[in-house]
Amino acid sequence: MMDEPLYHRYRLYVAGDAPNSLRARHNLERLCRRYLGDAYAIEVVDALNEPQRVLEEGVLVTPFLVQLEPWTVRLAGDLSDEAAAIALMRLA
Amino acid sequence: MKPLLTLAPKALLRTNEPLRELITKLARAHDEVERLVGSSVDAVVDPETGRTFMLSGAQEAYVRLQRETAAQAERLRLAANVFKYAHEGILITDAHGIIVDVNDMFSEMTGYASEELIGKTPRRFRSLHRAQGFSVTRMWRDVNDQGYWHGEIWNRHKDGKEYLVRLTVSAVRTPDGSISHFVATFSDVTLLYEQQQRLERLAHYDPLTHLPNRALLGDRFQQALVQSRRAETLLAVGYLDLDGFKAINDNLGHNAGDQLLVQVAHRIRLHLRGGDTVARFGGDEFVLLLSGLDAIQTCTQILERLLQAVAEPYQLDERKICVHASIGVAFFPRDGSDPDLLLREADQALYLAKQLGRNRYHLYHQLA
Repeated sequence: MMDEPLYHRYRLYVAGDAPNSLRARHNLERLCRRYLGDAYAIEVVDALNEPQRVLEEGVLVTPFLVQLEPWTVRLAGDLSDEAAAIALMRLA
Repeated sequence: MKPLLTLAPKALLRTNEPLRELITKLARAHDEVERLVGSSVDAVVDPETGRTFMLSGAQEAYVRLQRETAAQAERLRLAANVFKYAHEGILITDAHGIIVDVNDMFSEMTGYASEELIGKTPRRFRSLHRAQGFSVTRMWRDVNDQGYWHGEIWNRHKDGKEYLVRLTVSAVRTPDGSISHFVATFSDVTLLYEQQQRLERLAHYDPLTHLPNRALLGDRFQQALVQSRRAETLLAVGYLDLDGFKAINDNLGHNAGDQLLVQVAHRIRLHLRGGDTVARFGGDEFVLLLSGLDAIQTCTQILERLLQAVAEPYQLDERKICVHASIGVAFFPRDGSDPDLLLREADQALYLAKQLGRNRYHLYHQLA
């Protein structure tokens, strides 16, 4: 029997509907559904609308994923390298 | 490489240079603190202004390229540091054996500066002194067949001094499989080797007289027996003991006694033939192995010469002293074929030589 997954909180910085940003959203949601069930939340921040928040986070490229809970991870890119993403996000 | 910024949106054309810098900078930053997964990005953010620059496909490729270049540069920097700070000497040659680089440690070990070496071949280090079992041909065959060779060789320092190194030679191949370079790493193991030699000497030789000890005599005894058996010759086993040595030790001190033993050992060795062995068993007890004797008479002639030589006066510091020896002898195969038995018999014969008045030899078979 698997343990109840820990609650995961992510913030994803994107640049509008640019293709890599869309892909990053899609890939992140898919990974979360598969590994975390309902125990996750994703906040999407559009760098074009909220440059101040991007600056505060120290994000230099989009798409950019910041994990806030239960641990911190910072990843740039569209997360299409699934094996690397799973390893770096410690999903499995 | 040509920067791929020509496709920048019009608004960015004026800021080509800062953008390029920005990209380079962030590419490096990513390499250190962040991971690009899938490495596809849409925009870069100027950390000064917070302004977001959308990237074209080409610019995105440029970011990726920059990042890879930064990662590669980092790997190269790391490799260069390993080379520079290694505690082993490293020498790199091209496929023809011409030296292309050496590290500082290698220069220190060999005494040659890198400028003296680059463009030359490593032949100049080769010592005339070959380590046991070493073959240049075999070394190169292994490097070609297995990709590496390791072993020990003697090298020659610029100042002429020879030193033993543990050497690994590896072939560096291009992706198509042909050899592009050879890398040789050296560690100086001379001290280790000398220590081993010292231990070996301690295990087999008497530290005072440098004669073989009881353990080494055991080996020599077996060899001499085999040899005598094969050649059908006599082997004489002699016990030699100085007459009145205890009195010398007691009266003149252990230091004088030791000096005397060293000189006696020297004389015995001088009067034996090349293949003979003299060992020190401790105190003033010496054991002789005289092999390849055709007759007992040959042996007794040697024993007489030996007794004469030992009886010559000795100079100990300011003092001149005289001492003589007694010897008991047993023969293989006449008196037996077991080393322990032969030694016991020689000891008995020695006892009799002493009983009969010292300064003489006695043969075991004359006991009865």
